Amino acid sequence: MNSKPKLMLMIMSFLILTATSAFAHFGMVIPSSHIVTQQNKSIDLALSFSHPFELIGMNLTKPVAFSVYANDSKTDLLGTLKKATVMDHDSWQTAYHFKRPGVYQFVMEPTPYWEPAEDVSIIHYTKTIVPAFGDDQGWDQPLNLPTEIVPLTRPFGNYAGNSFSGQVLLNGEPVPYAEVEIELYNQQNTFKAPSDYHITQVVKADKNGVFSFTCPKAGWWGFAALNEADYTIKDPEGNDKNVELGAVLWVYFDPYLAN
Amino acid sequence: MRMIAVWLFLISSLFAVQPVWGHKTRVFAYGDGEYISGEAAFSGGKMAKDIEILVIDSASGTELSTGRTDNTGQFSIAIPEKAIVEKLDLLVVANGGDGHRAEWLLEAEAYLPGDSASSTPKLTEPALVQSPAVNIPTQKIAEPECLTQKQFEQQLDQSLKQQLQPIKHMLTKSQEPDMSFREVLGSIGYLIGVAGIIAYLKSRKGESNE
Repeated sequence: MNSKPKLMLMIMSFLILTATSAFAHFGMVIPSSHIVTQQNKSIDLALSFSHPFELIGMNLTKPVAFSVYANDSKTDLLGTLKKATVMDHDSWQTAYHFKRPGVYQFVMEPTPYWEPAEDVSIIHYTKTIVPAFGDDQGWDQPLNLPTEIVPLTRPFGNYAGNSFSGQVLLNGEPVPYAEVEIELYNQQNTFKAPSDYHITQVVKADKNGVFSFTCPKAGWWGFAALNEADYTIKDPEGNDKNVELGAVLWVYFDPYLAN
Repeated sequence: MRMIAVWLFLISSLFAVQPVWGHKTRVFAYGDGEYISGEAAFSGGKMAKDIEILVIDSASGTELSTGRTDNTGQFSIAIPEKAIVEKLDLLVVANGGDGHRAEWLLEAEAYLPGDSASSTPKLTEPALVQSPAVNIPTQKIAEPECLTQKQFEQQLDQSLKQQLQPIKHMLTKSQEPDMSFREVLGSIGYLIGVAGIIAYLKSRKGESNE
């Protein structure tokens, strides 16, 4: 056998492998309940770093920060995190007890994740918004994160089939034509992708950083707007490498219920 | 005729101002020392001003006390003594009329001073945790002199909380990292990115020529 086709095969398979993993990292903050009611005042939150559609986990080292923003104040929850396992990999979890109405924005800032396949460090600022006790105000407030998706559609009380719109901010400024990757958290392993292209859906924002996407199935949908940071982080060998900043937002879509 | 027109105009403007349709009422109540405090609002964010609040024994349906919300939708009603003695679960009902009725179940453990301290999990917002001064034993509630002092302390607490809110907000904001000094490095990153794309395209071209 000629060595050239062999080499080509190796290169191609390498490209395919890196391509599939390149388009599916998501920071995840998934609460046990997406709406907090009087009957159910506490939720568990699972923090992980995964490929949500394919259900492939990665190890999440202890985040740099985990906080909840509500009613004009920020509360540090980092100390409450306990080790857990999601998709057979290291993850973190905590419980949160809601005392009063509000729209609670949970935000995880992970430790930079070195991804050798992409030659970058990845930081996904991950946000999940949980309304409590009927309050419905404040979900459109940016939290002044280094990068974030600010919802333009109310991020709760939505049906599968609704469109979701948001604005991508980087350092507080809209990102023109930002690329947004979208995946369904295929929690029960219900769905399989017809091709690798289908695993991650991709839309681009307009010149104001505003994007829209229709979520056809019930469940948690993750939106990740990826930008390159204007700084570098050293790789394990000590070389300065680029940083992928992800603004990730998780939104739940409910099915229509029969009467 | 003109009178009727004016009257119609007034009536229609009333409907336009009041959030009558499409707005669900919500009410929230919590044990606040010797008081049941809380707020009533409509979905969409408007507070429910000057509406009736009923405190009802959830088991028997008996009305124990009433009060009204203030201009900001807040209310504060003394916990009925019967509720404390019998450790009743209370239904706090906001009655805005026109079908604007919402209720909140305030369980005994949520307002009885001793119990609430022990059952409150650690994961609470510092700003909202009841100050220890408010957590007085049940027996003391009957003493009127003590009551006014506590009331004063609570009001002081409340106004301090409100006035410190903007400062707290500013502090929260100032904790966010300022990344502007890193912008100098940005162009280098982009150049590396562009070089990467070119290299990739070149290698693709090489393959298809094979």
